[in-house]
Amino acid sequence: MSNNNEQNDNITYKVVVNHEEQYSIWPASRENAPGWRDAGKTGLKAECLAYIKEVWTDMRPLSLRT
Amino acid sequence: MTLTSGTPLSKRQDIYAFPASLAQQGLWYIDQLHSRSTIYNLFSTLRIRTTVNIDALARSIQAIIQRHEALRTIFVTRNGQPLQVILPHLEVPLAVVDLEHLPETRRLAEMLRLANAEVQHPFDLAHGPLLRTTLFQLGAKEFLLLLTIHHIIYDGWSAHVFFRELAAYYQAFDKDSPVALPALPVQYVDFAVWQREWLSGERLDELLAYWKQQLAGAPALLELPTDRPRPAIPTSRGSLRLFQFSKVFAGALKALSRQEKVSFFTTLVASFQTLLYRYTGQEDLLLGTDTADRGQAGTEDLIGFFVNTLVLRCNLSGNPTFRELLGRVRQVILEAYAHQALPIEVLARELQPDRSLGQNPFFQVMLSLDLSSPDLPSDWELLPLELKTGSAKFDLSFEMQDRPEGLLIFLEYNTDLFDEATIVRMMGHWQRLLEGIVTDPQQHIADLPLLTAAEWQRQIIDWNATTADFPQHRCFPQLFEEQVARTPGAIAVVCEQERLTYWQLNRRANHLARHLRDRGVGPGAIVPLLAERGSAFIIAMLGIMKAGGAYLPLDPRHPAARLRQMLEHSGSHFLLTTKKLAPIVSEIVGPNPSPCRRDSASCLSSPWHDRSGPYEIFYLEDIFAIADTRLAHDNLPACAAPRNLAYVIYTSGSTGTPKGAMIEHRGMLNHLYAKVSALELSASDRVAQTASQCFDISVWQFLAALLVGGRVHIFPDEVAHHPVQLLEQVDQHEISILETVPSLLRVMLESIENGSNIYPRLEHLRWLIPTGEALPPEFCKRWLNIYPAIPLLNAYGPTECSDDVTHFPIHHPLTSQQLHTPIGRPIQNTQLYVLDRHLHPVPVGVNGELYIGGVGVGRGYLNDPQRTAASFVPNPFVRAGLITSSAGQATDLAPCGERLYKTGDLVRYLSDGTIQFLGRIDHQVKIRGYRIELGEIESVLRQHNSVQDVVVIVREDTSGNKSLVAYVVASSDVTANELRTSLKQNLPDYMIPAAIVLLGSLPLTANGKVNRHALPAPENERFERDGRFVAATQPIQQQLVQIWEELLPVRPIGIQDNFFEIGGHSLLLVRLLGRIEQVFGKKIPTATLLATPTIEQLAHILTAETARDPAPVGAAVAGDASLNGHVKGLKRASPRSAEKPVLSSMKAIWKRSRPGKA
Repeated sequence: MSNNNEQNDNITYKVVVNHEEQYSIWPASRENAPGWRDAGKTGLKAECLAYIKEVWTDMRPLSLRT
Repeated sequence: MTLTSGTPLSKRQDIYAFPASLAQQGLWYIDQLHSRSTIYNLFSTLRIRTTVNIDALARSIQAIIQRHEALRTIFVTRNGQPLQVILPHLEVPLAVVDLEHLPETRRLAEMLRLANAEVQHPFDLAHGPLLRTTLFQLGAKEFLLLLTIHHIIYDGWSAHVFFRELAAYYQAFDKDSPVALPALPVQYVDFAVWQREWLSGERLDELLAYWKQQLAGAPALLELPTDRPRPAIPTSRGSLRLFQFSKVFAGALKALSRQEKVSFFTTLVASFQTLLYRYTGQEDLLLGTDTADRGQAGTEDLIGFFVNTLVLRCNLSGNPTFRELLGRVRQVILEAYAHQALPIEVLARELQPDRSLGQNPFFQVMLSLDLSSPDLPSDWELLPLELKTGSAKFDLSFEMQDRPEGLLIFLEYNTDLFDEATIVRMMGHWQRLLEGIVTDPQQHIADLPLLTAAEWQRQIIDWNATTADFPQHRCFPQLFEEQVARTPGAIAVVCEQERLTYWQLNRRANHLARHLRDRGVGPGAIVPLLAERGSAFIIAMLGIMKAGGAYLPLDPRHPAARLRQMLEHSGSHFLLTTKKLAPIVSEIVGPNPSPCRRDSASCLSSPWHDRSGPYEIFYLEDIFAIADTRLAHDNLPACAAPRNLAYVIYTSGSTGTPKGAMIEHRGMLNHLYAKVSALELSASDRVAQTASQCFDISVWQFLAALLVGGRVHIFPDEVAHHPVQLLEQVDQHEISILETVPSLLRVMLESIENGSNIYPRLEHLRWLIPTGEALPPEFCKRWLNIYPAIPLLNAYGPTECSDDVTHFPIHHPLTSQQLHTPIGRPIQNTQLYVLDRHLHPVPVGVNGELYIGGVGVGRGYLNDPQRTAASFVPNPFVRAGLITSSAGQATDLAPCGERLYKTGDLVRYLSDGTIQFLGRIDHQVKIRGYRIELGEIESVLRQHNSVQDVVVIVREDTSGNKSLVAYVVASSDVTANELRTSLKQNLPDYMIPAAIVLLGSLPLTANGKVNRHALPAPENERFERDGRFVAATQPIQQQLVQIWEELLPVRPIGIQDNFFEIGGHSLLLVRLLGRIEQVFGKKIPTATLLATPTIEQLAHILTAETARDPAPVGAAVAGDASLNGHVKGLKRASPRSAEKPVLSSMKAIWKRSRPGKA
């Protein structure tokens, strides 16, 4: 059962990024999903998302940026 | 006898009736609650592979019965309490069934049939005997002895004693040699009496203190996902399946246990707790287990009900490794055994856990392990047989036997909750978990494998093999233009009196597109479109797309502040609108257009647009008016690519700031083709466009028909929001495809059902598509009842994933048991995953969150990287290269680096691969520790005849107390109390809303969904709150209050108080029924009291009974009646009882703690 009560989310996440330079978060203890690499930040969910807010300034997929 | 002195229990002299032991009392109460039940029928089967001396065998059984008083015991009622009466003699014949005359192939089946019938036959505790024996003869040297016996005089240990002694007697009688069994120093009743004495004072306090602390704040219910909703009054209907872990596998588990320095049992318990955790998400888990409780000298050779139940409460929080969990569980088990002497019946009486459900106190799942087997002659074997008593003691009960051939698991399950297939799957998952544990006990419990390889293949690969061709390298404008070339003169759009052919629509859209390109609109540009739905709107949609831009629909009916908020948030500097809406525009962007700051030359030279602040405002009328003279009407070269944005739609965010979902062309196009395919759209179709332009379902309503030469018919709001008018117009305009939200469907159904016989025939309508909200199964039934030839296509999908991602065609009404209409299977090029919070797939039937992958997954939220990153997560279900489904279809499941959209929706897979939507995860609430699906309460309320619509929410008062409030739109003058009564017949008490508010209609959002924020707070005069004190007024009520006061400590007791909420429990229930029978001479069935547990309701029933049957039935208490029966029996059996009237002697005994000294 998935109960994603955000207050209880004490999982450590890492910031990950794909080939289109789209950012996301992923449980730090787990291997990255194929096609994703570490962006160099781990922490609580809110910390990771705050980091993403800073670095992900162009939300277009990389292949569309000219 | 006491523990310390070791004094042997004295042999009693002449006593033959005693209080029941504490454990017996518990079973006796349950037997009273479920009369004629087989819940506590136990059985043992002995296979004999040699000749049998039947006479010796029968004598042996009789000898054991004579040796053990427990086997000669029956139970009578005195003052609502059970007494055990030991019969001096009791004949239990050995039934012999000769199956040898049958063909060999039929013998086994016939034996199983007869044996099943035998174990399904209930015992009568008041009359006995409480055991039966049958010998099946299958061959000259092939026999099966079946012992069926009530748990109240027997347990697992007793089975060893019984068969050990059976062997001893049999060998002696067979050879006419003396029996070598030592005399029994004590009997079961001695234990019963001793236990009552021993378990008192400080010792009792100490045990109680431990268990109270151990069980403090424990969850009331293990929320196992069930195949059917938990009935309001639990039943004990059950079945049994026998499973086996192989010798090798059991050996590996034992080796692991040795390596980890824990018992085999500890490993089994820890792994099982892990399974329950993975099934429920609960980290605080309670499990029941057995303890033989044969610590007293002399009890080890006795047959009787000694076994006690222990509660194992484990804390699985923090996602420990399995090795860590083993340590925790070992500690729990050690402590539990150190405090095993407290019978669970005493604990239940003391702690009074919430038993308003009548469920088992403390736990719903039982796990026990029998490690040894008795020494028997070489051709005798206790054979595990899958006999079904037809009942179940718990939700699930795992009785395990460690045998030479492996670990046998008798799994008894409640068939009102579980299907056999579910039980089989669960065993597969337990085994898979254990395999993972054996491989690496250092894995975290959330990460251990759960799905079998076959299940993984099916759920992750096969059910997601949805690859289908669509023009994935092209965009909508070009595909539309090709259709224009095919059918230029066909009608494309109808809106009221206006009609546009394909050629006209394309021409105008081209005009607009060229103009927009001139103004700088191209791929990536977002163009807010503020216009009424109509032909101009669809031209604008097309024009923006043709120019390469993405449209952002704005609804003129929305408040200006919200429109301004969206405009600003989008960052766009365009605004495409109509002259008619100029006042709204000035409200949004300010009344005085400020001078152009940018590109002023162009601005000044373009009379068809204004610059207002940062926005470049285009009026469609102006563009259309001058376009003819200035711009070519030809198709433009393709501007957008499949990964460019097609549209942005704002949805409401939970924090109040709207979220702009960005959808790419490829996702939009895939969905359009999915609709074309599912609905088999063709040039002859007419699709109704009814949804607000800000609701994502409007996209396909506008565009899908245009891919196939069909027609889109735009209905203005005044028609679209008026279900009766809409249906008339759908009929009149020969519409073939209509989409609606269930809230509107409800009104349609009512208007038809309550109206005259003249209702629209809808002869041209081919599909009705309910979407946007959960579709009650009842609606399907009602619709198909009226229009059996018009199927429904239930559709589900979030705006973030290009609208619908599942379809579920419904041609026939669903079965009445289904509370939720399935949302179906993924549409083409879409993958669905049901995951737990650690992103692991959950098994079929288990609730999880829906994640969506595939072409339809949108780009994210406009200018909101944080929300995007939180909701669009890496897709881990990807393998390099092509993956082949088991059907042989090559499926390019997901290229590396793709994302899944996390929906926040709670769903589960059904075993056929369709998905059931259960509600929003954030609508899942906890009240009094119970996890509650608000949708489930709504579904049950909807089943009430007078309920038209309903929504249930949680309200929190100022002190933080949460309570459920139901808002109901009802057709007739039904009262809130009537609704509550009807709810109570279907739902457990913790799911009954504290307030039921009757409303004329539910507030709706602009998109026609229920607006939860606009629901009024309950006012005292409009709802009836639970728990208020209402004093008894009628004499019958006052009499009942007196009875309740005898049993319950609460004062005062009101006539609306729920027996179970003010301290009543199932044990007291039996006494209450007994008292009612004494006082009123009426026997109220247990089930009636469970369903109507207030004095008001009881008085009503008693009054009705009296009116029907004015002559009161004999006021004899049931127990006395049965006792009288036994006086006769005893007189016949025992000369002593002729001298001592049983009743008076029992009264005396009742007061004596040591009958031996009497």
